[in-house]
Amino acid sequence: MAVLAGMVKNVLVIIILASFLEVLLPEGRVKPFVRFAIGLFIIIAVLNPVLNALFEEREFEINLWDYQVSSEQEREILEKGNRLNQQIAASTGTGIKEKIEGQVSAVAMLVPGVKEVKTNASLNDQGGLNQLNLTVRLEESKQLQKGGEVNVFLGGGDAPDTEDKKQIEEKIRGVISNLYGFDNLKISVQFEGG
Amino acid sequence: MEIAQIVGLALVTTIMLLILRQEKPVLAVLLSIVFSIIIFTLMMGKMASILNVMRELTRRAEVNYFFFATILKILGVAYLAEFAVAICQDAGEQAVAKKVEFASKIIIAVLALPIMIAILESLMQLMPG
Repeated sequence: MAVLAGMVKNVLVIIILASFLEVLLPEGRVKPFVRFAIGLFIIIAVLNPVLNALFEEREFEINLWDYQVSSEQEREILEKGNRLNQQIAASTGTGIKEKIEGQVSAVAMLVPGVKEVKTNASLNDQGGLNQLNLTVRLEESKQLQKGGEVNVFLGGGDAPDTEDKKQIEEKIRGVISNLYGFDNLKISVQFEGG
Repeated sequence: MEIAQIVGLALVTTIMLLILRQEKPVLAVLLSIVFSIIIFTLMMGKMASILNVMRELTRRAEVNYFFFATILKILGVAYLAEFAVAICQDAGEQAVAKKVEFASKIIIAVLALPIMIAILESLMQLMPG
């Protein structure tokens, strides 16, 4: 009885819609073709429930044209999709994080006066970069000139002052920003030993 | 009263077309095309609201949206083809009009063909042997 009720409802709605659409049809030689296509849909609407009721165990190709997903199923599918998406992002996120940290450290070490860099990258749920935290250790035997060039004093040993650190920090920020196209605000640079 | 505007526009266009057809036939065709586009654009919003209501109805009735989407595509093809055919016929290009009509028929057939095949396959499966 439920099958019959569903079938009647389905056919009724489709026929009403088809009748209304037929009113909208343009007058011309194309009209019979459009009516034929609408007729095919009405045939599917009638035939599909009948075939399903008569031959429950058989799969017909016509079923695919009347495949319906209920709102509950749709929600379930979306939830599964989201979970899968999060799993994929989590598994690839770790690898991406390590690679980015390694690359940034290597690039930052090319800045004159820098001896060692430790990078900590934080990623968001989508796998995008949120922030880069760089901990920099400077070479003690090197001193930056005011013009930005580097002079190496073998016998020196003066520790870089605040201005030098500022210059190095700006250079690191600039190099990383230009290389990756990151926003300057996302990069924080700290020096070992204050 | 939108219909008054449309009627007014149609009357002005018709008078201008009558004059232009004798003096400058090319301009007459252009005017006809412009008028068609104006009417089409004016009716676009109204058509969209009708379609939205129908879409909502199909959703509430839990009818497969695929039906509706395909029928709408067919309807769109038919309307566009009719517009083009009318313009071509106005310009006296019967041959071009026929070609547009032919193309629209083929496109509609292509849209409907998979459904027809599915019905035939299902019926063939039902046949014994």
